[in-house]
Amino acid sequence: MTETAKKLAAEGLAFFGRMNAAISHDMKNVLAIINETASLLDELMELQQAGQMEPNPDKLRTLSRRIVQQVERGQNVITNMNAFAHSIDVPVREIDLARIMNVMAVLSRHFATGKTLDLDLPDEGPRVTTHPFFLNDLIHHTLNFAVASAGPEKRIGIAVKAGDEGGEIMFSGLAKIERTFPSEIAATLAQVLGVRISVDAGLIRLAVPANIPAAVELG
Amino acid sequence: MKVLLVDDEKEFVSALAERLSFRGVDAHWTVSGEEALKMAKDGRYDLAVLDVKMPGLGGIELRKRLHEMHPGMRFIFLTGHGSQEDFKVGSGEASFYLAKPLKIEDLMEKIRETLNR
Repeated sequence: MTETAKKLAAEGLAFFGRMNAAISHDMKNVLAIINETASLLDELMELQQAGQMEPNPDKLRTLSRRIVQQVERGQNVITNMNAFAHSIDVPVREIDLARIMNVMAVLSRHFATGKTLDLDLPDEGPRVTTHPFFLNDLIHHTLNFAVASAGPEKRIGIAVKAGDEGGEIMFSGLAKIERTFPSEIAATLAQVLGVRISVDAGLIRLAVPANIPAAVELG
Repeated sequence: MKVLLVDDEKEFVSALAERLSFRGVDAHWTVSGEEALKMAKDGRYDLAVLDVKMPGLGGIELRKRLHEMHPGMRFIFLTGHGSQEDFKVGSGEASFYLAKPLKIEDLMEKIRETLNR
């Protein structure tokens, strides 16, 4: 195994762990809201039935809708978690760049607390043949950097479009650049994926080739 | 007893405050650490229940700032993580550390224990 492959194996495991922690945190919040809301609903009905509180069907309806919304939020997280989990099924395969970006945006909600992610993703994005798991990892590093460097509006724009050869993912709205990008591991991921990274004022662009370089050992 | 609840999940913290009010707790809530500091400046609280991880001012830093403002104030931490690392941080900084989802009876018990210390 080459040094790069060893580095990627360790990074891949760490990335998987980080995503697991983030997803479980998000799901615990969903469960906590459902738990509090259902319990509140129960207590309100008990008080109303006992005549200790005026009946308030509008409030009960608002609370029951809140539960449904949280179930939908949880379902969305699980659907994307499933897509992420399957990103390692086949090491190299054709994927839709917009879809993979959407999965990472949903699952990275936890890392982007306090910031708004404005997604501009086509229904069908450019298709590229790549290593989906490590591309997820590179997107994750880039998104974290973008979020940490967000401007005063605290909004990060994310767009996907077809490139000259392959596709492009753009992160905009950066202002406070206090670190350099790419980091060493992001640069390694970009190298093995054949992704070109450009950092301009307030913008990071990932140019993903139509086909991953053939000579790279990814494990 | 007057309790300040701070958690960035509005649906969670508002429902929790209402349930605590049914149990005789004068519970006030906010979704941001910055707003919590303003509320604590305007009114004295016996205890604050803080989410560890929040955008902007997180629970650990918020606890320090609130303690400087009101040295007698007590603290309970909440988290969605439940990791060993969080537990170490939470145990060191607050009287109690509870993982979400919560049981209201557990929180009530910890509130009573914290205020009786």
